[in-house]
Amino acid sequence: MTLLKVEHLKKEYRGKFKNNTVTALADVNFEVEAGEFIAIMGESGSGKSTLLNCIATLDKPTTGTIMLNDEDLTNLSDKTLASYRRDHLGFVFQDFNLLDTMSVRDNIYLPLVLAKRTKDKSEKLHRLAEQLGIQDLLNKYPYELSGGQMQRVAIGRALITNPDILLGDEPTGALDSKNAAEILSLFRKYNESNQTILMVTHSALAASCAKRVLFIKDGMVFHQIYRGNRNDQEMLITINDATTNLFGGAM
Amino acid sequence: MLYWKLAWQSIVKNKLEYLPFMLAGTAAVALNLVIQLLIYSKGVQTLRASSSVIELLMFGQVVIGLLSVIFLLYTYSFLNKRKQSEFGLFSILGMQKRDLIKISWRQQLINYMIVTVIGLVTGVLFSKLLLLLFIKLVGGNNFQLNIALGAIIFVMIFFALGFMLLLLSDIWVVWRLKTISLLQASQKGEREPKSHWLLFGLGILLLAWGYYISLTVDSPLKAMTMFFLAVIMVVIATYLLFIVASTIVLKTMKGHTNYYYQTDHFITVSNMLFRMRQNATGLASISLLTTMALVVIVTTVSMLVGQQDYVNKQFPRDIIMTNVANKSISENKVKQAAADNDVALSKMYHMEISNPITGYLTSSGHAMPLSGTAVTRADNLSDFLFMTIQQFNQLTNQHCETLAANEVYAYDRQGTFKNNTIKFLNQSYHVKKHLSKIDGVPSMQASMTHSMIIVIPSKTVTDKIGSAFNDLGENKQSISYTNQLLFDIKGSDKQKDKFLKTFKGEQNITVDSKSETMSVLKSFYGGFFFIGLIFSISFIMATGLIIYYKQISEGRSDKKQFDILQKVGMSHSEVKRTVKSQVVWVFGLPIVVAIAHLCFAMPMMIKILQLFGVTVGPVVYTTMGLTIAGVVLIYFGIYLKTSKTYFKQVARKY
Ligand SMILES: Nc1ncnc2c1ncn2[C@@H]1O[C@H](COP(=O)(O)OP(=O)(O)O)[C@@H](O)[C@H]1O
Ligand SMILES: [Mg+2]
Repeated sequence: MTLLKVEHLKKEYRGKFKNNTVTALADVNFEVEAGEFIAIMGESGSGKSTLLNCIATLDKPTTGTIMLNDEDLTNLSDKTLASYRRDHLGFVFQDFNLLDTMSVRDNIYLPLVLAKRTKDKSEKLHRLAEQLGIQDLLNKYPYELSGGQMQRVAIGRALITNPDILLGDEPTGALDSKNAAEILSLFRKYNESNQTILMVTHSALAASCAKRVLFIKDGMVFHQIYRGNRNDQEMLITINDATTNLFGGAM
Repeated sequence: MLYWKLAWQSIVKNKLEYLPFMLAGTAAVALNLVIQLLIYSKGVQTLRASSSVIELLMFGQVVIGLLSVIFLLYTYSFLNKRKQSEFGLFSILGMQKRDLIKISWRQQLINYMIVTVIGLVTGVLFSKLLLLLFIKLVGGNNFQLNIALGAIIFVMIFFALGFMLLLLSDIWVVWRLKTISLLQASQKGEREPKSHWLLFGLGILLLAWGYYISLTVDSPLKAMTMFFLAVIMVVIATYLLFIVASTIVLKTMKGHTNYYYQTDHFITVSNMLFRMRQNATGLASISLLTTMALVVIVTTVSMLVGQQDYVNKQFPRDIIMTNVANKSISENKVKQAAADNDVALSKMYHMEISNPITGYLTSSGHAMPLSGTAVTRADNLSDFLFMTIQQFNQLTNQHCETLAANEVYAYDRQGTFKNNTIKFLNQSYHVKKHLSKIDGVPSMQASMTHSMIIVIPSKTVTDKIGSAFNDLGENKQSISYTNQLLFDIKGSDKQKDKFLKTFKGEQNITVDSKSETMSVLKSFYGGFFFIGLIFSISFIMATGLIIYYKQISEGRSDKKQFDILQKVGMSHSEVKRTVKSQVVWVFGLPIVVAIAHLCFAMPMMIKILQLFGVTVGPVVYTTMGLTIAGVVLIYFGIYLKTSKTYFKQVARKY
């Protein structure tokens, strides 16, 4: 079943002067099946974040359509955007984006409270906390946590609403290799239990955990690699080969 | 040229901070100029009581001047934070401290020019209007305003010095500037504040105590001494409660999960918990400033309105002639003088009342002479005046009342004496009646001392008391009486003046005129009211601006937080609601507290005003209501502006 369908997506940023437009995305097309784990790779400035923000409804594309569950996200009114976001999408950011004024528990509850779906919030919380290994942190505040712990809390916050798709913008970008590996194995675990994941990264190691890798260049999807039955090691080598071919190994 | 450009650009870029700062500066310049121009104006200088009015204005100038500088520094401190990061950036780009100071002084010069030019122009425009108001209030009739060069130069130099201070603070910032500090994370996590139940209890206790004192104080004299005690307790309580009670209340809210985990409460409560800690002292100060402004308005209005009443009580008739030698003033002679000067006299009557004697009055009603060694509390002191029953009957037109030799009527101006007997030396008198007033007796000058009028059967009573109370010397004297002649007068001002002058040289006779007393008091209380008005308006404006600044700078630091909230799915209208409820707390709390303070202070203020001869009537309550409404309105305006700006700062596009 096709969950997400991106067609002819184009995004231009208009500068202060008329002739000064930046084309971040020229013509992006791809589809995501339910249950997939996709990594999008590209050089810095290639438009990865722009693409993810458009899918996340945090930015509006110039032209093109983004269909999630047969609903066109580009047509959503400003009023329904926020509620759509919290009901169907989950995000994990590079810099965690946790609220300093709230405990870990409340940070995770946040989307439920915003969506007024607080009914059996504590069961959901405890199930997630156990899976993420953050049971002992619930009463702490974000500044008391390490980066890896914060990212786990952020994953908890993203998943507590059972989103259709989990979006990650360089989720391991600010972590050391050990913590990055832990986060990636969590992603993989959730994907195995059928969570669709779309992740943007410029790290081949991170991308090698995905089932499919899309390469983005000049504002377009240039190439893609299916994992098939490659193991992690083989996948990493394939990705590295592809990046050297595409980008001259400059990543 | 580059430096000028950079200086100007930084002002434009930070206009959110600069505009209110310049507005405040302009208002300060205008206000100072207005007071200066009033001092120099012919209208004020030709007032009857010009010297005391000018003194009052000078006092106002000192206070307003000081406040202006403090306020300028305070509002600038918000700008300073912005500047710090900007300068940090410049220095990373390779600018030296010398260059930064070159930018700084240019900025201050620009600020100074804008603020003084606009301020002086508005000041001149407003001073005409305010002079009209002022002269009306103090009862003058010369509305001439001259734009004195001296006033303008004074204000320009004064503010030049003020901006010099700001430049010094800039230099201080540049001096201590380390580029490292720019790279440090601006927002460090803060621990959730703890609940301090002990301090909370202490705060409640002090507040209740302070309020209790005000509610239960019965004599004006006590009110005066207790007032400061009550004020100190309430001030301490306000700070304590703002600091600890806010945390306790918010934590309790947080404890009720059904309440806490609702969209509208969730964000507000958790934000406020952190916000209150940073803001508690600021908010407490704001509410005390507001209270002060309200108290100043209410008292000055009461005095302004009450003065008429006060003078009317002091002068049952237009003119009071007093013969201190206790000789009856010849009515014929006065009437002759009136006829000579073409003035008409009416409603004339004589009155004989003793000079006051001072003694101690014990709670059992024993009045004792002052003795040199005894040290007694001031609130035991009392003045006694005596009047015969015969005189009393004449005044009240009741010819039938009689008193036995050991009976008296007692009239206590403060209304605290309620005993059945009063004892002078060794002689007890039965108080047959407690009078609530005696018509036709001029009330005394406002004084701190308790005073009573005793209506006695005959002068033998006062003869017996003799001089025991008056002096501690050997010579026995009887208590002396004064004779007064009171009457209304009609005629032109000139004729009245001439008529009154004929008694100027007369031995032992003093003449007091109601209109003259009134005009002296009017210029005093009117000036007082004007200064009070300017004070309170500037207090309120200042506090409003302080809140605005606080919110704007918080909005900047909250930007990230609201960005996260919106990414996670908070809608614009929810952001708006959250911002509003946060801001409304910050604005609402101080004003609610200030109103509560004012209401509880009223009983005490009423007593103190009585001491100054002012009875508090409906006019004062109306003023109080209007003042509160005005303050609420001003704050509401600033609130709307603030929450709008705040929302604009934190709202995402999508
Ligand atoms: N808000 C914006 N305004 C103007 N240009 C932007 C904006 N956001 C991104 N860009 C530009 O779009 C291009 C793609 O940026 P981005 O999506 O952030 O790249 P990536 O995440 O792959 O590093 C860049 O050239 C960037 O400068
Ligand atoms: Mg990016």
